[in-house]
Amino acid sequence: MADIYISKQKTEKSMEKKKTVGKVNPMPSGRTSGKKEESTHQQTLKELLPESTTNPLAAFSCYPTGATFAGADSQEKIILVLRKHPITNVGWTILSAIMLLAPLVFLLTPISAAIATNYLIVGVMFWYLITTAFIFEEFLSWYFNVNIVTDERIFDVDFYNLVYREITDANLDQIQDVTVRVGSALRTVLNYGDVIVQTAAEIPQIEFHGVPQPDRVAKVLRELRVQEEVEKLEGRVR
Amino acid sequence: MQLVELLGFADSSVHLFVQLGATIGFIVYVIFAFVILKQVGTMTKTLEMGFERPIQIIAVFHLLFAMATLGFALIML
Repeated sequence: MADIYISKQKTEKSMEKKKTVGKVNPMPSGRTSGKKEESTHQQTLKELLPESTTNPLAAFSCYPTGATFAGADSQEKIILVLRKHPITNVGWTILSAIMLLAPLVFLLTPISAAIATNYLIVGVMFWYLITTAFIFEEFLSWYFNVNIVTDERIFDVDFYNLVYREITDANLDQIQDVTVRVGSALRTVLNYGDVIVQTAAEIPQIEFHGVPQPDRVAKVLRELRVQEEVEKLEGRVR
Repeated sequence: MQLVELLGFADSSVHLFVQLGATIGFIVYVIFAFVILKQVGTMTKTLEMGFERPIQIIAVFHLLFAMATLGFALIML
């Protein structure tokens, strides 16, 4: 029978190796590590969105107070409500100002003298009615075309015209990819752009157009996705 | 004399044409203002952010203003 000699040094080394392996990859006790991970992500979310917004006209509202929407679950919490950046309203605001001033300019021209006064008054009133409708419609379009991010889903609410509306939603765990697109000098300076969300839902793409701070929005979506994953692993999905 | 009569007829038909056009225009506008009011109702049901009351008030005033303008136009023309 041959004698086998194992050096003391070698056995010590292998023991050390085992110990270090144990240290690097501890067997995760699922629930505790999940909770830790969740609290870390909640902390990150708090850092990203430190305080709730009370202004109902804000383009970037975090945890808006008193905000609800059609189809929301009772336990669902709104995290973000996004509208187009206020600068996107400049075009129609300038046009509205021109429309408001146009009758005054017209009254100064000699053509107005040739028109009967009662026709002029009714004409000007009709013009101002159209201007009011134009301003109101543009404002409504800006105010109600929103993107909502809750702790469960993302929503895209679009009102295309007076009678046509479209509401698209996707669960957070269906999000596959988030792309941020900031495409012009003005957008870069004012920090607004598009956030494109690819989903595994029936509608493959949800777009947040011209929203302020798109990078922050993308980060929030990432954190929420991870939180949702953790909840799924722990079996706490609603 | 005949020319004066002809001019008078032309003037009254232009007046009638303008009156009819304005009335139809204002009636269409009142319908449009009503549609806006309904649209605002739908929108505020879809999303509540805390600014619904002023928007609804503006929509109602807009409809009332359109109706008042229709009445005013009928009196004035």
